[in-house]
Amino acid sequence: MVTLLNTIDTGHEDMIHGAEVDYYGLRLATCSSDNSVKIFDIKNGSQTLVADLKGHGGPVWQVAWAHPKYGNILASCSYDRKVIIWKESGDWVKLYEYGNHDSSVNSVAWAPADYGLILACGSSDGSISILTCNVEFGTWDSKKISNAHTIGCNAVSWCPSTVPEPGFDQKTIRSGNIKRIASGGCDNCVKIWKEDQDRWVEESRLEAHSDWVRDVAWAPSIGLPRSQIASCSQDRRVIIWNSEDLTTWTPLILHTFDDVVWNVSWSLTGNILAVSGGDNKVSLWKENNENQWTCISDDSNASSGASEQRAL
Amino acid sequence: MTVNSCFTSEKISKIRWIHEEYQDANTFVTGSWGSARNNIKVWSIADSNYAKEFSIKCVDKHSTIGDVTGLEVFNKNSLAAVTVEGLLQVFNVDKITDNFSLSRRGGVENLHKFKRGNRAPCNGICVYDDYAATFGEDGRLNILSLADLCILHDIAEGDNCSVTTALFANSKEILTGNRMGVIKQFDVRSKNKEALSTFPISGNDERKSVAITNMCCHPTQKHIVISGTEEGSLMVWDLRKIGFPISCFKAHAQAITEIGFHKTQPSRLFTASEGGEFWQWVQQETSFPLNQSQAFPSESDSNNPWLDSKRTKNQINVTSLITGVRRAINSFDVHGSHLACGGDNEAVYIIATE
Amino acid sequence: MEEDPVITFTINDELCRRAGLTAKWINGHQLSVAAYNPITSTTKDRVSDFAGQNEVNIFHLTTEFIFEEPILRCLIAEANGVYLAVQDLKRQGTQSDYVKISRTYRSIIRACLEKLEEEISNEEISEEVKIRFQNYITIFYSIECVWHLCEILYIDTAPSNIVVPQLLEWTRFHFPSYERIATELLLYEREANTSEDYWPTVKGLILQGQIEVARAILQLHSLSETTAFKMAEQILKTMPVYNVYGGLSIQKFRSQWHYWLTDTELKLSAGILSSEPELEEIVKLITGNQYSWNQQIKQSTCWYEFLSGYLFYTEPACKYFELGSFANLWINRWANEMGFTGSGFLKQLDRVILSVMENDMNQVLHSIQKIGDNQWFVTHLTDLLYHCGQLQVMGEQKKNIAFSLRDALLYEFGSALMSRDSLWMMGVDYLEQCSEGAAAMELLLTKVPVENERQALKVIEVAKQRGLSSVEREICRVQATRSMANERYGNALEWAIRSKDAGAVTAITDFFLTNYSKTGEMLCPDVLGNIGGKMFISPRLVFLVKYFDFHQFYKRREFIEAAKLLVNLLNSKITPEYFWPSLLIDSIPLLESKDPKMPSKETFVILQHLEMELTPLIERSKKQMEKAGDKQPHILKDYRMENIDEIVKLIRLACARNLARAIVIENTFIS
Repeated sequence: MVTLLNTIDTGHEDMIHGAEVDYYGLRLATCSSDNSVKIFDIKNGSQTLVADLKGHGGPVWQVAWAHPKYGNILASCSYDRKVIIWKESGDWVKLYEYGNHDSSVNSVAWAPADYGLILACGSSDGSISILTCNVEFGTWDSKKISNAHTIGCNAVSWCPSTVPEPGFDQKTIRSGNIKRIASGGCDNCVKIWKEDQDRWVEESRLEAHSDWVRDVAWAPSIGLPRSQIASCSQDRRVIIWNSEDLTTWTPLILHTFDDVVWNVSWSLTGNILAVSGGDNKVSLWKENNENQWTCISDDSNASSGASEQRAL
Repeated sequence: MTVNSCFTSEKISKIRWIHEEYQDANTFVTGSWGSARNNIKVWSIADSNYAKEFSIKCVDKHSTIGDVTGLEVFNKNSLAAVTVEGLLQVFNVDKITDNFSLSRRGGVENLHKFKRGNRAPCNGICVYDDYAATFGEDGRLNILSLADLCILHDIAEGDNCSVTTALFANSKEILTGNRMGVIKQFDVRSKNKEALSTFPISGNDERKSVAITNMCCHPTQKHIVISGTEEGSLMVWDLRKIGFPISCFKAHAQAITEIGFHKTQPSRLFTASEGGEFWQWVQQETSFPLNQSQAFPSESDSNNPWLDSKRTKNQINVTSLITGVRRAINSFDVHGSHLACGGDNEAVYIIATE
Repeated sequence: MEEDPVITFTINDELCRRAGLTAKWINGHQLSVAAYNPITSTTKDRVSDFAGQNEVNIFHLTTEFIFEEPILRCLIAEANGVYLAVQDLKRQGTQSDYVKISRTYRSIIRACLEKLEEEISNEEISEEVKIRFQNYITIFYSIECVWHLCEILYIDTAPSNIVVPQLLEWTRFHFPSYERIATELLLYEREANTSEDYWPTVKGLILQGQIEVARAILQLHSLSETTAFKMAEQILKTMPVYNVYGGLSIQKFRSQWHYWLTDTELKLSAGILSSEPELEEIVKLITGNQYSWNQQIKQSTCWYEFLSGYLFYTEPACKYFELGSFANLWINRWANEMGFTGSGFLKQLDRVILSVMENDMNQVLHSIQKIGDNQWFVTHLTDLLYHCGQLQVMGEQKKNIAFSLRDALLYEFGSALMSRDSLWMMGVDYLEQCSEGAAAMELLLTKVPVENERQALKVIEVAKQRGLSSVEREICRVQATRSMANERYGNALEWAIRSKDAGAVTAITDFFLTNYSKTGEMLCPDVLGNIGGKMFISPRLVFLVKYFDFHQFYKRREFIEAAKLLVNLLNSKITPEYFWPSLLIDSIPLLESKDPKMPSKETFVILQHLEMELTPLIERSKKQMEKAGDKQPHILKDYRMENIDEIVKLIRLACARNLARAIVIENTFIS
């Protein structure tokens, strides 16, 4: 049985576009069309506004928390073409600002912490930036994948650092320094980028969607000798991409929905996928032992039948 | 020896008997950790219908936010409890008709702070008569009067590493142990807040830190202090000639969580470990005629087995008091013939040795 | 297998309704839902159509979790200990080991039910809590009942698989009311039959196959000395009871039984008991008379209440593989008598029990997953059956998928516990036993919300015991960062050393050294003085500790030792660039001392380092400075002197003067 744990009134004056909980689930960061980023303390069901960060000059699309081993660090990206990295040192301050995009920055994602403090940013200008912090000196270095997706890049997601290397059974082998990013864009493609020495190159191009790809999510690695990426698109489909060697990817259409699908999200251990879209529904999907995906049924014996499915 | 247990629905961080005169204690208190709300509970044990079995029942509780990190009994039936949030509370445990109940007498807040003023976790409390000392991650030592509930003295920069344990060696001196394995000795009243002496311990591998996890002193020969470490070993110190431990030996396979002598039978030492062990160390009767009812009649350095590592090995017998506990026993207490322990498997165990 | 209904949870939020919504997992069991409107390349930088009209809310949803209730929490904790004992047997235990374990599990459930009952009878609790507890009782009562049946049929199996004796015991345990009243009646002695419960109880006992007790009560009847009663007693006493240990072969037993049956039916038709209709009824029941049983069926509260009794009188040697068909026959008869039609008359528990009797393991496991206990039962039962070799579940390819099924259940249950704040320790025990557990533990242990060092050390200990060194290192690393933020630098250094992350140690060490060259303050001397062998993790830390030692010598006025160490440091090749000015400035007082502390050779060394290290550095940074337009080479600073050229000049001068003195003294000495 699902229950509502708590409701957080964000106090934003306009739509929020991102709401991210930090590594331990103790803090919540939100970003909104009112140009602000807010941070809440949500420990034990409480809700205290800790900071209201103003720095963007346009709607803020996404926020992302860095791994706590680098401190309390948050990245935000906005329509104002900027990416801002905030840090808590006593108060919340702007640590770094990146403004080398020609259009709205739609998505930010931190790399797995093992790689260092590295941020990927996808922009409507079609490019992806990778910002790397030299933690020792506090300096930032940037690399850019130009024209990653024609018309624009909508989402970026990193490959986990613990993906088992092909050829090794059982043991989880860290994929060393080979960093990979999946991105989705307005060219209807999901692309996989691989760091090759000091350049980022296109490794795979996954073509199966027939409209803009709105979200991509690389599944967390739990030791299985395979990688999974979920992508969703305006073509109303969610596709699960499977690969055992990180080079050949097989698409599996999870489901064709009634409306555009905007977001996909993997649970912590990658066993449940949450799908949400234009039909105002959130559905949860799970893969069974026979690699079939089914919409989750409730585990309770409650008799409440299918009530109104819209979120009223 | 009989063992009775009771599940508590929370992880136990501390357990203490409420002292009773002329009889074995039948009431104990526990503190818990690891939940959103934690409890200080009072428990009663009573003989049940079955022979050798106790019924263990919670008779009162006080709920608090944050882990209970310290719980000590003073003045027989008063209780001082600290939480990780730096709150010290004092309770009376009174017998009202047949049951014990907990009444809060007062508290002191925000005992530990970092330099920026944000709250620092408090790691515990130690008491001496009416005095208490709290210690924490900020390295500060607060000396408080439990009668007046005020800070008498503080050593703000006691340690640049987190203080994990502290012990009153006597009314004037306090010993602290930290996570990197350094014991410091402070004069609580001196204006000079520097440590009187500092002595590091070392483990098997000198490249690794070995935290001091707990300390206790001999009930009658107060200069003998035994410390337990993260690696599970015991170190015996003579406060009159500090600098190096008198002896040091491997005991448990995992960290020692608590260590303590029987208060009236100094020939018995107890240790509990992170690995779920609870041991008794008894001086062998063959090497020394032991009269359980009284302290060593002719106790002196020359026959105290702890002061000589060879004697320790030859004269002390170790027995395990409990088996099958698969998680840390975080705390224990001994009173008369009753032993109590509890830990992360969310149970308390009452052991009657007679 | 019927389709399970998809259950929908509705959120009432105006903005979500108007705009649409999005969902994101925030940890193992929480889903964050909020209003959402997609951005497109044409989205304009202006307030959205929804601005300022509705509250902007975020909803955190979770699945219901019953084990936060303290009474159930005790159950899960205690059962966890039993679960671990099962693992310890490593599938090598004897049948009696596993029977004992199964009983321990059941006794934990029983104790929990008793505690719940006790709570419910407490008048102080609210109606809402009462309903909740009642619901828990329903759940755990079902579990107890099914577990008991599974124990009889799968674990505590009798020789040659006969089931009736155990089924009788199971029925007695779950329908104890007749036995309870019987105990009361036995206390009445002779007046027992004056109680209005007398005949219903005797009948009930007979229906449950408790002939011995029924006979004892019949003896208490005031007419027990009459012929009818004596006849009945004789019939009851002589009824052959099948006993697998009795040495009687099944054929022999059957013929004995038939003989007794024919004899008894003859007696009945002769009307020997017609004077006592109640007695006659009882005897009819033990002969398995269809009409009499059908009459009694209507008294039963659920379909299986009298099944075992009926089998006892009609199919006493029934084996497990036959039980399913007998049960189905009985159910039809029962439904017929009760007037039920269709299939909806069976409640969930009824169906599970039927599946167990039918030995349909797939269906059993499927059904008990939905019992509302967060899968506690299915996980523990599956694990136990797997361990005692009784888990046979067929997958699509007709392969036994027992192992992978248990694996998946342990994984789910373990991860669910790990995402609840206070149950992560238990969760580890379940993940540890499954094949993909290590990776999940690695992921989930670092996510345990650690709020203080004690908690950190607990997680580290759990990780260490399982060889998850990366978890250990990561937690230490986070603690180091936190300590730095709290300005607990010594503590941060210690955590960094524990993390074995040389880079982190170096970074913190740099902070100590740059702080020194800026302020002249050596941070955390108590920590630096006790690092000892731990310094070897990073050459930078070795440098810092040695440099600290140099200060200690200096403080103690052991200038000769200090000078030696300083020269060693200069020669060490581990001096960080930014520290050259400070290190060389430190040599000035030693060089300028009236009675020389530095021999000529060492003085040359200092000069050499000044020219070979510092001067080129100054050149380099001056060039950089020109490029960047800065005034001062900012990294080459010391609190004692601002101007780097000044520093160089002073050192050269000091060297020259000391050299002069040293040469004089050294030569004097030689001569």
